[in-house]
Amino acid sequence: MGGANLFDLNPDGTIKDTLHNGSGQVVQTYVIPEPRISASYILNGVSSLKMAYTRNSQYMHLISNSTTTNPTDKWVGSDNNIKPEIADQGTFGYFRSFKDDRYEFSAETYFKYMQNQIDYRDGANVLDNTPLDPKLLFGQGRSYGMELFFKKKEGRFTGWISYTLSRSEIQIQGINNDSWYASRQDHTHDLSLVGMYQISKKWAFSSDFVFYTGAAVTFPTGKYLGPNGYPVFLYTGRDGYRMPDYSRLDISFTKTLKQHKHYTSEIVYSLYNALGRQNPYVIIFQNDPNDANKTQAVQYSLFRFVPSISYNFKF
Amino acid sequence: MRTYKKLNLAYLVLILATFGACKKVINVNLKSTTPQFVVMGNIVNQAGPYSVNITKSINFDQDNVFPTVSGAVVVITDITANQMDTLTETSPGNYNTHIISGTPGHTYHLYVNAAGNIFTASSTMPALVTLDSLYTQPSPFGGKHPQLVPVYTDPALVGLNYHYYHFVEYKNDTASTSIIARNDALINGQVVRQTIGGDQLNPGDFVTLYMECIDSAVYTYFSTLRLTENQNSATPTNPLTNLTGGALGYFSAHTSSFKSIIVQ
Repeated sequence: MGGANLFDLNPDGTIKDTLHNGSGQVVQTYVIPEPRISASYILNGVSSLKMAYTRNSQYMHLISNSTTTNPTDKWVGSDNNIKPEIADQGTFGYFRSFKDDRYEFSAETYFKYMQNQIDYRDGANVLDNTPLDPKLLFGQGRSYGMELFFKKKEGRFTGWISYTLSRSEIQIQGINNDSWYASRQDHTHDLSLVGMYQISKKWAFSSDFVFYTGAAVTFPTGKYLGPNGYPVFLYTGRDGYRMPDYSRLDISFTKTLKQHKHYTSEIVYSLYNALGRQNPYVIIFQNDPNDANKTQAVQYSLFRFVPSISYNFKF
Repeated sequence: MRTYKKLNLAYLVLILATFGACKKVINVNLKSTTPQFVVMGNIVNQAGPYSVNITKSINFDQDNVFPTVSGAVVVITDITANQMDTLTETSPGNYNTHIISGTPGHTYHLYVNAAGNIFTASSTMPALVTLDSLYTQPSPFGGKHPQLVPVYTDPALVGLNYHYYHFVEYKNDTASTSIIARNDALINGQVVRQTIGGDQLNPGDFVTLYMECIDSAVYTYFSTLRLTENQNSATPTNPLTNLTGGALGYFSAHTSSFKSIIVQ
């Protein structure tokens, strides 16, 4: 809908014309059917095969940058330049339960093809207040992978383990010499472990651990002499590097308090990031403040240990 | 009382361990790069010789010693005056002109042949806008560092034509790391008193500010370089250069004027 300035763009991203639409006026209409089909085949009493195809379209877009210094994300709607993102996804999976449904296992593979993917043009400035459309480029994306899942559903000890091996890439004309590169969502390995143990009637322990491959980011590869006589960082491509891998262990103890007629309550003692791992929040490349002859990378991380106590009650 | 103290200390340790953000210098495993040529050439509206400097890029973890490129063929042609000048290498990687002179309105063409790699660029020297004066004023937010304000009159232009400026600040004879470039999109035809976001200044500092009138391609270079320097760009890339052939750097024909003051 109108009420804002829209832009007619030249192929190089410069503004050819500014179109002003009146309030309530329709700018562009997109009609995208979203067919979906799914089928399952029961192999026997405990196992089955499932397959599905779905098409999804998304009219709001998250536009992220590829540096590590400014996590500035922007949400924008579709307009005459930004088209709805369309994803076609096919999945195939095997599901099985064991020992009277006390354990569950599944393995699934998927392939996804995406249209109208968005990324910033080289050298786009995200901090100024100029129109966004001219700073963007559009292309295609693909992602594929395999998910393994195992769950223990009953007993004093319950929990699950899931592991995903995947790849997610985009290709946009004008970025990285038009070749495929890792998208921001690309995490090669993604492991998560969750366990709960009932210690006694009153006390329960639970813990979860997550690990995933660091996101793809753009780091400088080298440096060279700049106009004022100081080093300038040299870049050789977008998203060519990885943030360090992320991992975190959280633990908590839950004490169930005395049961009352009308309500039950519990106290939870928990510790976030129990191993105190310094997962990076940002990495900044800079001149060494102590040695003008050197450059360095500085990592900032947040939240080493975060203990908390909470009180829950149900009525 | 003693328990109270102990408790206090325990809390302090807990708070520090919990909420303190951590900063550390890390070793990022960066790929090594093929050295790339870096060409920087300037023609100014003042007496020559003018120089072209050729170096090569290095890996991130190396010391800031940039290899110079000797033995290149460097030619600058004043297209407007139809005058060609073959530069001479006066020190390793530094090439100087002999006959051409920097004149506003003239277009200059640069040709570099470095070991078979050919780089070219053209730049037109804009009309001179003089830096009229320079003063400092207290920071409006009560900060203790005074702000630097250059004053100049931007000539009025009609239509989508802009004037482009590049500033270089020296504090106590040391160049600032800040890259400062502006255009007159919002200040066309006005007397400009816009502060310079360069180095932190203290009373007693000796400051010199150079103001250069640059052409649009060189403005693009400095403005994209500035984004890269602060890593404020969404997609850090090498600055958009006016050199063809794959070299880093720029070739700029510009006017220059300067003022110096002692910060009060």
